[in-house]
Amino acid sequence: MIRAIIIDDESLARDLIKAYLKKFDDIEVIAECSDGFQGLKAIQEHKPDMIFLDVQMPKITGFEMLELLEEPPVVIFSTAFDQYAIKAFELNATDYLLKPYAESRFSEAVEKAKTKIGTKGVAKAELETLQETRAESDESLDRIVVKTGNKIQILPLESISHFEAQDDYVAIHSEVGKFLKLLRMKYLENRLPLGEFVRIHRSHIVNVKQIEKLELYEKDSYLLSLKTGIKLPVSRSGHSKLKEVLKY
Amino acid sequence: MDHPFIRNKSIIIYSITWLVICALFAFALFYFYDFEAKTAALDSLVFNGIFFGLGLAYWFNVRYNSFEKSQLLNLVVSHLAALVLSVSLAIFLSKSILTSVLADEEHINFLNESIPWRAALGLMYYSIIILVYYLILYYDDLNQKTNERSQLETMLKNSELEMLKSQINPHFIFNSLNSIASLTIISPEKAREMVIKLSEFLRYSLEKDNDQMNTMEDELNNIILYLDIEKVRFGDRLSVKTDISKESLHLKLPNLILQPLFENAIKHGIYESLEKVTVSLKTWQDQNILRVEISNQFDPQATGKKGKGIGLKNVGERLRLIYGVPQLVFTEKTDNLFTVRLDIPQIATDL
Repeated sequence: MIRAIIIDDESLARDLIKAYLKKFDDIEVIAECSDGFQGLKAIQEHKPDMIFLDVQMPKITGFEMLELLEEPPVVIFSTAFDQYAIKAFELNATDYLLKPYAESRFSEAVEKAKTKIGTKGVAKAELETLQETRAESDESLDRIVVKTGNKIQILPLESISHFEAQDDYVAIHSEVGKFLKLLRMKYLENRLPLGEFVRIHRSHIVNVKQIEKLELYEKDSYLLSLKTGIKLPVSRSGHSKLKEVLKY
Repeated sequence: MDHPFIRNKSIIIYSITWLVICALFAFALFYFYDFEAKTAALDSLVFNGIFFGLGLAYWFNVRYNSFEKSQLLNLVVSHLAALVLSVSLAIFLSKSILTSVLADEEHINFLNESIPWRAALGLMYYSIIILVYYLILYYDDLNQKTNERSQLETMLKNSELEMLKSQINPHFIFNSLNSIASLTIISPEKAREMVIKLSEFLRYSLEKDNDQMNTMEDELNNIILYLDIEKVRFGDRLSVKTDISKESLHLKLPNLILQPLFENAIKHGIYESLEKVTVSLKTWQDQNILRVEISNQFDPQATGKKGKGIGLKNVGERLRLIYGVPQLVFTEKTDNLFTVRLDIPQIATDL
């Protein structure tokens, strides 16, 4: 039996999926969730094989929820209208459903998803490339969702002073503390709003509003002080980027 | 507003005019009164030089006494005072300067004798300069009005598509259609009902021109349709409260002006909240103003995608251009309630 969870904030949308699923004797809906928080909890608890996931939901989006999962199940995305998400799906040949969708289209997507179940790592690899494609899209981030233990925290960008690369992770320094998240600096650099964040160094991205001063420290090398009191080195290319953003 | 004689190099034209006057004045003294060329030139330079400066200063009297703003009596008094003071000052000052510089008896006598016609000349200078200033003000005002008018026209044209995009948001349409697809299986009657509501809503929104004025009653019906559709989508999560005074139903407001505000209320209230959210609408008449108040609860903890405030800004901009009043939109945000109020003047507009 394939175990599935439906995550969508509209109950009629969930009902439609359940109605379409009646044809599939081998799929069992083990939970229904109306937002990303519940969804995350249910996935960790039930470890489903497959999820039906709406992109736009209260609190956190479907994508943000997936970012918090270490071992994501096979995902069938659905969205009504989200040009950025659709672009990312298309570039990755990810299967997605555009609401409203026909029963035949739905069945096709389910059959395709079924083939991925059981092949370990396929779903995860697919989601990773999807995330990278999204990094190249022109939609900029306005918050970052992190998880510490069982607590999910939404960090608005204003609250973040800087990002620091730490191996495969990125340390996010915010007003409410430091968080680690599995992320690439390149992804952040591409998706953070232009002019508000600058990559000053291979391993540092700073919030422009948090900059206190920039001082020459040796010939050709600069040191940046943040309002939080932290001092960070600035690389040569970082310095030219800073110059461009701060216009001096 | 900046000084009309100083902006755009017009100071050059102003100076040249005075140089011509100065030359004519000096020539008259030299030719008709038989003064030495030097005395004539100096007299003219001092007397007209003072008026050159005063002429620039007269602007402030005009600027702060424009016709619309002050009473006629104030206007007359202020100009008379400025005239008497400035002309006396010019005569007194030019006399003292010329007496001390030239010390020519014949010329001093002439200075005393010429006071009446110098005063007359001062009056003429004053009147002409003031007249020019008022003409410039009038012309500027006319220009500004024409600009505003054409701005409104281009905005109406440009916004036509933009408005449709923002008023009927695709997310709303496709999600509603998805709900209908679902209802056809569970409850065909409800599906039919919703198709009809959605059609009525779309028809109302698509058929009206953007510059049209509608009654509150028509707008209200459309808003109710919109909220009914959203209620089908969100079920118990959305509750709507209305408090509409009877007089306000017949008052006029610009077509679909409330739609973006309700979309905001839904977006920030429902889309970002897990709890039940109440959206309320209150309308009443206050003398010749229709007041419309829309409020929604929101989850203070939601760090949701922030709107760019475009909806609210567009509504304000549209009202400003239609009514020519800068501030007709008021917002208030408390812990968990966002309220926006529109003041719609009830005057006949030719729009």
